[in-house]
Amino acid sequence: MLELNHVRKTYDSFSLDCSLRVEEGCVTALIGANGAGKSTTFKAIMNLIRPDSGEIRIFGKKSTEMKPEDREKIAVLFAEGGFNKTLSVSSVSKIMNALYPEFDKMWFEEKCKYFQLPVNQKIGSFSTGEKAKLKVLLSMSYGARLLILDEPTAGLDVIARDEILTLLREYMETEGRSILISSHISSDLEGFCDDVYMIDHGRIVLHEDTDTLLEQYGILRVSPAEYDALDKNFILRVKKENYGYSCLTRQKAFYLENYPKAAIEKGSIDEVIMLMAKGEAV
Amino acid sequence: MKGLILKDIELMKGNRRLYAGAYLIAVMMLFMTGMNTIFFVSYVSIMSGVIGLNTVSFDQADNGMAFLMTLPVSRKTYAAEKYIFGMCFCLVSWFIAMIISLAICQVTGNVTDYQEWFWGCGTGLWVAVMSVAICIPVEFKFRPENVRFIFIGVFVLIFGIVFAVGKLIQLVFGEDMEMILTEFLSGHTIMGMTMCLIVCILILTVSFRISAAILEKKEF
Repeated sequence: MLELNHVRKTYDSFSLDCSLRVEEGCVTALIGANGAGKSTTFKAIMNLIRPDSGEIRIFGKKSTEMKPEDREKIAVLFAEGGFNKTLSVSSVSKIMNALYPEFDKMWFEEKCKYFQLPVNQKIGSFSTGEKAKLKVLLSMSYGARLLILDEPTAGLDVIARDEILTLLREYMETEGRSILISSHISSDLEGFCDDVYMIDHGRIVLHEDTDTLLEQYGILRVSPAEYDALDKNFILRVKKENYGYSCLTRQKAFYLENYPKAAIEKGSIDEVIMLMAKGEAV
Repeated sequence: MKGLILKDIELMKGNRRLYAGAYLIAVMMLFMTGMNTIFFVSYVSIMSGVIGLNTVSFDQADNGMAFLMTLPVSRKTYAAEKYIFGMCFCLVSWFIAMIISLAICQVTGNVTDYQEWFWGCGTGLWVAVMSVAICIPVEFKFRPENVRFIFIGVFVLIFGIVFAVGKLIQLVFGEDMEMILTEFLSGHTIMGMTMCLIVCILILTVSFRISAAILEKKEF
């Protein structure tokens, strides 16, 4: 559905070198700290910036060869930016109807009513949650095959986030769709995404299926003496702590079996991000 | 393109109170200038050009351009729509102002030479269209916070050139450029209109090509 092959972009103080794939029918997460390169990657996908080298293919077509009508099947949601805030929902509905042949006005208006979005009020006066819901509804309103969502749940409370994720899950029930999503909120991703790419300083440092990450990855918390005695063949990252070391492993089962006294925690996306970003490779 | 035009119409509808104030000032100035309808038509035309240009500023606000460039329209189409919308808005406003002015002229009887009057009103439209042609590529090229300074610089430069050319013509031919133009246009109405139209089309074409090239290269 989407493929980035060594997409490189260099700025003064930052460079991106990214390869990733989003398969059809899958929800892929792109996670990383602020300034890691998530938004830059999304902009490269949508031709908002021009990579210095590399290739991007969407639906098998090079992104540079995509025509405007090809973008009728792609929906993009940026954390910042959207329709002008002086427009109302009813204005935006008319505009979308004119822009997208497949725009489902009835569905969109029904959902706006369901989420109690004021139809004739200017978007600028909406709350953070209302703005986020509107953006997500707009992105799902015209049957796009690929959704590219940059922090769709940022700044929302847990209820609003759950409502949005439910919408997205329902959206994925139709075949032939995919989502590339970035988020800081790992709990959103753990229950929603099929696979995860982690980006750090413009480079992909980890790609793993979510299930594997949650089941096979673990964090070992060991004292200096325990660390010295540890088999480090399966340690991906290590970070010095007050008590000793925290170690990220992809083979939690190995360490559970061979070091039964060691403190081993289940890997979560947050912990993995922390250690991949802050830890040192062994 | 239809979606973009609708967007700009909706943007203007959403800010109609602001624009109504500007047109109210035009009506006030009509009375303050003793029913100077040429000034009224010119003011309305140029104001309409500025209002049409405002849609670019609205699009650029709050990182909006990055989002708009992901819509199913090409950058060239986006640029073209700004010209079409701006020109149409100028023309419609000018036409309405002309109708109102004609009615006023009929009532007050303060216009004796309708040909000269028409040229005066037409000049206002021409200036409005040229302003739009100059300003659109400037808006696309520069950051919003720098645009107003660039505009001042561009218009000072244009007035400077016109002034310098006028002085040169006076030196060479011994006559005022305005007099030369007025005499020529009065005596050659059709040719004068055709020349103005050709110059207009040429400048608009060059301006559009520059705008399209700026947008094609721009990163968001």
